[in-house]
Amino acid sequence: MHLVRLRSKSERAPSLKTTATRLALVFAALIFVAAFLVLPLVTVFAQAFAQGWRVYADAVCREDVIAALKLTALVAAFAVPLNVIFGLAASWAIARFDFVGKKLLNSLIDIPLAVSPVVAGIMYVEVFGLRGWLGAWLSAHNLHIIFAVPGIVLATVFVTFPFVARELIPFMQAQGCDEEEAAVVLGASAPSIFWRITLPNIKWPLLYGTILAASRSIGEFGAVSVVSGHIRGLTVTTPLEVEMLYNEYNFTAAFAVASLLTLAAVVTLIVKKAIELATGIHGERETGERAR
Amino acid sequence: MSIAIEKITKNYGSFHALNGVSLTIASGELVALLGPSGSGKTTLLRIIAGLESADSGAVRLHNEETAHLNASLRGIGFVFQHYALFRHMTIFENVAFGLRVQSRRVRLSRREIRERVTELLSLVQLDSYARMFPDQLSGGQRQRVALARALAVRPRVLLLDEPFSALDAKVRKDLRNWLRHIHDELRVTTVLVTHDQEEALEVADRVAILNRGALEQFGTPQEIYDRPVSPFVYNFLGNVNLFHGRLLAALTAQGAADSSDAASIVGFVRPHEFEVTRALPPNGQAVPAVIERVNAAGAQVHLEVKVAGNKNPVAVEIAKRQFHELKLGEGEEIYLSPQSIRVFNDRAAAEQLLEQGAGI
Amino acid sequence: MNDRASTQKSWRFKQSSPLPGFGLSLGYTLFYLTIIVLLPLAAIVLRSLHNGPARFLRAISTPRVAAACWLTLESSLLASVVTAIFGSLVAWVLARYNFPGRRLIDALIDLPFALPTAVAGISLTALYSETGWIGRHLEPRGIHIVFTQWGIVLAMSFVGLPFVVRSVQPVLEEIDSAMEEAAISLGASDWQVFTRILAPVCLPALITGTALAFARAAGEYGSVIFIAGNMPMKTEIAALLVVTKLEEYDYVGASAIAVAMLALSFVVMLTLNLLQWRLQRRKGERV
Repeated sequence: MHLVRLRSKSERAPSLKTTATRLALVFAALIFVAAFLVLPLVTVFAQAFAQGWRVYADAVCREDVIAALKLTALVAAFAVPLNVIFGLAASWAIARFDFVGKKLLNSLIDIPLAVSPVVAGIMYVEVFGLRGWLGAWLSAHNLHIIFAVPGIVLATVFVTFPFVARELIPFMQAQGCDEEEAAVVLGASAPSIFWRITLPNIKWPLLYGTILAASRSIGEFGAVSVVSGHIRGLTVTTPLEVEMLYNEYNFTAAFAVASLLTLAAVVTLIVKKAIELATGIHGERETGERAR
Repeated sequence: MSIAIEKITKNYGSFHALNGVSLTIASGELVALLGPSGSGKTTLLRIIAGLESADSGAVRLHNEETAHLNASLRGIGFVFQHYALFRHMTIFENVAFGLRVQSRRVRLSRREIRERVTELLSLVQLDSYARMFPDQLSGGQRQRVALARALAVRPRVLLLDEPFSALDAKVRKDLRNWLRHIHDELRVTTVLVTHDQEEALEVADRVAILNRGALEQFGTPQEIYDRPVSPFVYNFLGNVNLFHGRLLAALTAQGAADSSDAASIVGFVRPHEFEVTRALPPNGQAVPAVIERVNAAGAQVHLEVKVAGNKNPVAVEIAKRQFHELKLGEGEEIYLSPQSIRVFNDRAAAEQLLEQGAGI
Repeated sequence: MNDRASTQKSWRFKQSSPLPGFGLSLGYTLFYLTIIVLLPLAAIVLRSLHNGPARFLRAISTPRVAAACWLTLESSLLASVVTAIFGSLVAWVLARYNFPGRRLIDALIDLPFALPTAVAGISLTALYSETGWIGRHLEPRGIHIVFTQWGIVLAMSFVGLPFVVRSVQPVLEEIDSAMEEAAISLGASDWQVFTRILAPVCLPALITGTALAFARAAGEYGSVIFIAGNMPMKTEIAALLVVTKLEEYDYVGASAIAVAMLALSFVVMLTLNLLQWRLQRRKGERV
């Protein structure tokens, strides 16, 4: 029965179970995945097109939807580069030097992963909101963070904070700093080392982390929901728009917009898999496993 | 517990790993399967173990057919190249494993298991390591644990897959002697796979040399070394110098045979089998040569010598004393005559060896 | 690894290194970390204790809050069990077997990571409602998913699945087949190889993955609020209650619950780290 073969390296590896059991396990796993993962995916599109192409197109071209899409793009355009720069800085400090408190710093960077998105949102309200620490100062200078776009950017920055760093740090640690040291000995300046040696070497984990961060930035819901204010056309991102349409019982429109987000998610999965296959990078997938 | 291997053939797709290999190993013998990588020796070992299955042929353990037997039922002990110790278990638990998984009917009591494990750990001299984990041991120690583990279930046959190749040279030598020692004590039929000819010749009762899936020669270390049946065997067991044509004729005084004969005959001489003289010896069976390089570090002196008519330099080894007595040095002219020369009628094989860099 | 040894006679903050940019990179990192993470964290902890710890405790022990917290905890635990079981199955199948479509399934496992939580939320609701493709078979049989705790558990399992699979799968893939062969050559049956060799090696990873799934489930918002129904005292999760309180301007109450949720997350993470650290010390290297 060659439909299901063993993946082990040895030719006739110890067959842990008879072929029938093997088949049964695979079958069970497939059914589970189909019901649990595939169906929800398909449902989005089925619901979006339930009333036909015309309705779908109308839903997607609504004014507020376009505004939401633009805002989502804007937020991602700010949040992702900010975290990329941070990721590069943090990984340079942590992976290339040894200092007191390095391990602590490493763990601190992971904090956003442990925090519920809603809690993240409220944290920012406590600092930047009207009654927050900086609230008085901000309103005195007519700066609005919460219930405005900057707040959304901040909340998004928070939830995607560790993504790039967590891809770069273990990679750079495993790589070692031989090449950069050689460059120093040869007389290269710091920017030179960075652009010519470091960056080319880390381009794949960097790309991988960036894609993860971008995907999350586009899709973040809980944290943004808290800081947003839900002002249609101004502070409503695409996931928020989906929620609003849904709560107004405009299901088809909600799913139509959701289908755009789903498309982005699927593209993310494909690109991720492509990078993994091409380079053998498996990333850390938010599982907390990392080289210490 | 004898092992009879009958015409075993194994292919991996288009790669022929084993081509009808047959071999009989007597009970209590220690046999080495020797050969370069790709020769099929590990494949053969794993087929005996039941970890792989042959495409055709049979393996009989003590006259019993084994094709239907799973690796867990053959009563063999297997020692892996990289130890394969269970990293999440202590040394004690590792050695006890085989005893603990036995079916209830035959399983020993806990006390008996503990006694046996302790006995084995003293045999391999690792008594005080029982509570440690494999990662806390050195490579040599881990391999000894692997051996103890394999021996715990009193296997009828012990199989070792390049067990020492992952270790340092000194540790390797020590373990080699120690394995021989254990074997002499326990008398278990043992098959050892190695690519190190020194190891095979030192440790084994008999050596089987494999090349590209075929058995080249099977005999005692002495037989193989003194009477190799093919150029491959000769070269595999040590350095070799090749002579043919007129030079060969000069060295062996076989007369200048007619050209067709001369073309296919090749003579093999080992570096230490040359007699070095300043003048032409009385029987005239020598060739003139010039010393190009001298390496005097070590017990013997190694000379790289140019012989007119031979493309490659000839490697000669002589005792230090003789080197000084003859007052030899670079550029000196000498005569070489072989004390022993092995002649093969297989120019193709010989030339292939030459191309592969045989000789120096 | 090229990390230098870090002990010297005199205490130094940083080992000397020829590489440039330490000050700049560390400085920026700390600055950014403080503004984005540490400051807001401090703010919310202080706010929740604003009127004293007594008030804090009272805020989180009102019946509604207690019900929400209990519901969240219980559902997260149930969801963790579900993901542990099915996640292990999927990880096993992906790691050990080759079958048509394996790569596709492997890529799909990350879907809950990539999919926006709101989309997951409305999709699961649509699927399990009485007109949905799955719901229409369940509702008539009296199995109600939407607007009940089961819906909450389902949504939490959805978002937690990748954690378990991606923790266990690499460990399974990297198990040396020689270890299995050794066990077999020593006479172990298939079942014994599984229970004595494979399972123990994967257990730490399974625990890690399940704990992470639990932490994620406890804080989940978007995927849950659509399918839950959000009835106070019945199907209202803690995260939603935080948002509700915020909308009512009960900042102290909202922060109190938020801090309680934070505390739970940190306890889980800390325990995990400690376990991993202990495991590493005992074995001398990662299992």
